[in-house]
Amino acid sequence: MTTGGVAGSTSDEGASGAEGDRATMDDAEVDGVTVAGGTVDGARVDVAGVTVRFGATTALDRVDMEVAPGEVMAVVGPSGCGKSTLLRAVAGLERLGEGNIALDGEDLAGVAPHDRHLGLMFQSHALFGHLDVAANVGFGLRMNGAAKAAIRTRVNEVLELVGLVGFGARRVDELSGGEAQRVALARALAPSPRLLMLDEPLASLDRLLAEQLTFDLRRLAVELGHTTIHVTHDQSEAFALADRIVVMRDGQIVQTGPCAEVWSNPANEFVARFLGHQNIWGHEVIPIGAIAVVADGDAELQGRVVVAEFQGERWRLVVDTERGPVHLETVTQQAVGDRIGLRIDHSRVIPLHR
Amino acid sequence: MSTSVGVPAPATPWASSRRLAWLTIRAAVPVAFLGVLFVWPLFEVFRRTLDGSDDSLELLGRPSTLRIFRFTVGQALASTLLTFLIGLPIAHGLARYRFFGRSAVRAMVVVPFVLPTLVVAAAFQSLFGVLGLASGRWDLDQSLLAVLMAHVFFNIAVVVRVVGGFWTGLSRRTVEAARVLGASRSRAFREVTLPQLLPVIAGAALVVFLFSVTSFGLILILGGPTRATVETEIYRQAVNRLDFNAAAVLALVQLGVVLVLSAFAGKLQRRFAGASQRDGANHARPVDTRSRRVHLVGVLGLAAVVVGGPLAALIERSLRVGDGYGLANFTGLTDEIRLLPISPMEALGNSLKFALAAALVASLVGMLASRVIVSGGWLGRLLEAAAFVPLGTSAVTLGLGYLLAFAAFDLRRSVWLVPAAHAVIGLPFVLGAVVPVLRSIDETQRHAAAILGASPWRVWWEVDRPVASRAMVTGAGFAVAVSIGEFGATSFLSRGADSFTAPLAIFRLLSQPGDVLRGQSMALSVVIGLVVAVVALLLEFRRGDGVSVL
Repeated sequence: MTTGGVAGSTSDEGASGAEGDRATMDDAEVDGVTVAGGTVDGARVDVAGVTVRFGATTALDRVDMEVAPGEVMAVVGPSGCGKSTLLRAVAGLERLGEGNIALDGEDLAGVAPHDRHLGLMFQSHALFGHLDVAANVGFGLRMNGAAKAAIRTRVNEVLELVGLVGFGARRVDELSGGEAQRVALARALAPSPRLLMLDEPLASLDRLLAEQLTFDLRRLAVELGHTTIHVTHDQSEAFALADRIVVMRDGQIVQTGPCAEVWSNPANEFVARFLGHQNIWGHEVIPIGAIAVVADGDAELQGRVVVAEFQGERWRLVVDTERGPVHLETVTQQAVGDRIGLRIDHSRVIPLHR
Repeated sequence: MSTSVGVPAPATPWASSRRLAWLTIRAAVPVAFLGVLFVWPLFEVFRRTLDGSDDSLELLGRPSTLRIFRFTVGQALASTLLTFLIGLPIAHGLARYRFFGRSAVRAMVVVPFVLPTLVVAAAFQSLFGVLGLASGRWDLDQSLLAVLMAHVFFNIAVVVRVVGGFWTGLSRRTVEAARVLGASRSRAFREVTLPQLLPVIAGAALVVFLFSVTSFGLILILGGPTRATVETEIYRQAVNRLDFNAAAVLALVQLGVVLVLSAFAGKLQRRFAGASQRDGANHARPVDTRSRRVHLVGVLGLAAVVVGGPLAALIERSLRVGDGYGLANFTGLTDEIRLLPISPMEALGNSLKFALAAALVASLVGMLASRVIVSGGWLGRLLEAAAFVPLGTSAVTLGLGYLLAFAAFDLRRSVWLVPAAHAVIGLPFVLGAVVPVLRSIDETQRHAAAILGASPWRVWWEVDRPVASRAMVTGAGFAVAVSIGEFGATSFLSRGADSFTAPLAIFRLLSQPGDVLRGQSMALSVVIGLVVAVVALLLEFRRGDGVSVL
């Protein structure tokens, strides 16, 4: 992922920007949302020593995770790391080899998926093709035995919540990718689950749609108060949405913590690289923002620009130095072949343990 | 070749008119083939009905005719119901579990479908013999139950392949979504899985119903003389009573029903194509718990009994000599038998000759027709419709049409009528294999080849041919298998020793009361059954993705 560093650093700054967005958003929408959605008492989730095996392979290896009521937890990691399996295990779709999962202190062992009353949004949407949008969204309510009128009211509420007013009678195969995603989200939200789980909810969307839905998810999480577990392979999405983050690799949890903390204090090189750090020299991680282009006299490193990518507000450079390639960003234009001087803000250098 | 460099074929009037000329030449052969050997004979059936329209109406109103209609529909409904009752659990088990030998089991279940109907009849007579149900109080031979059992045996492949195949590809995610949303296992099946399966089940049921309506050899032998369907009645009127008018009326009714049902089946499949979530993945699960093991063993046992039982009985009876076992029935196949114009072995030789000729013709016509069909336009659509109709048309109707259309010729010398009919019947199998494969080729590949300098002919050779040749072999193989076992049309057209085939020999031998020649008819059934099954299994295991006839 060549732009990982950029995404990492922008979302770092983007977090503060997002606060601003959120505030304006609240002002604009708070009434509509609270009236429409109501609030849910989010559940506390305890995953303790959970192991899931598929034949000879171990998909989850003694995984521990705690999610506080109302918290948004992001689970990130490369594909095949077991993050989706973790969601499916919580939902009751995978058999646990060992360990247990509890919701509000109640052990879920032996509780069938349909008795757990959770919300799960599948990466592939998994909408019911033989039902229209309203029937899809109302499915969970119908299973819970809700009355027809109540279902209709709630379906309309939730469709409004995800911005699909009037879509109820549409056929599922007539929806665009973004609309299908919203229907899937509405379907998971409709029964007001104590725990909402999202499996790569933005993966199949183009960038603009993904940003829009990220925005909506963040708003909904804050307003509705579900506990949310959000699985993604994209660290910038995780940073944008989550309070805390779990980094997984090969079925194990490598690091857990608040987003900013994990970013600024990665447990090892894998985490550092996965979260978008690119300048890793031995036991030191140099954040992209810690490197500045300076006049030759002030420079502690000299190098030649080998890649210069224009990214709108700034330039992204790779500079060949005696310490190897250095990734950085500048606001001034640089051309490939230029020799430039670099200076590192050592107070921002992160030491890697081990 | 240089002309097409930088000039994509239809860009100039000259190029497009040349293209049209090519298309016409390519279309002329299949159009002539189907026109003479399929459309004209059916038209003659139609004309004969109009000629005697007063008699025709009178015949249709007779109580005996109505009884035949009722029995035809009734036995087909019962066959369809039974086939699904037994087939669905097998389809489900094979779709749901991943286990060693799964593809072998799937292949074995298909064998009955490709077996000649007369071999199936022989197998069931053998089964009744082995079980002691051929005589006395529990005489199943020549009963409705025998017909139904044989139809289940024959059609179970349709359920396993069509419904089961679809079931395997059905995304598990929707079921999981329903489960998480509060649906119990059975409720998720009823509300999510079943609605997605229903169109396929309905389509497959229509196919099974059609096959049961047009079933001929099985009913003739296993049903006995008192159980007439429209199909056997056409034969009786035309061949035994020489009342061609009556036969034509019945054939026309049959044809109409078949066409309407086929069109309905096709429409059903298209309409519901979007109603299911298929992700192309294989969702079979491992057999890792006790209950799953028990379930799978039960399903495999059911399949073994239903499919294996009659086949095992057939082999047992073919080896039975007096009170012991031996190969005398097989070695006796080369002997002259008083009932037959030639020895069974010579009849088998005729069958093989006809099969190769029919497959060759069907392949050549199919190759030309497939290109026209794939290139679209009204001609392509018309040809597609015309070429696939023989699949639904009963062989007996076709045979009758040939008798009426070619009556002017001396039928005794026209040996070619049999392979010609077989080629028409085999053509849909060739097209069914080739056309989808040609359609799956991305058109930009052809454009890319043309831009890189390939002439239209060369484009076909380099892009289409390598992909289509595999499918062509599959289609031709099925045409061979179908021809070897063909009985309905052949029973009308065969005159004398030169056109006497193995299925006709089995029919004559099985129709004889008494056990004297039973052993030899079973042995001949085993031989042609083996030939056909080996062809089908070879095709099954070399079949690439997307190439399939069933």
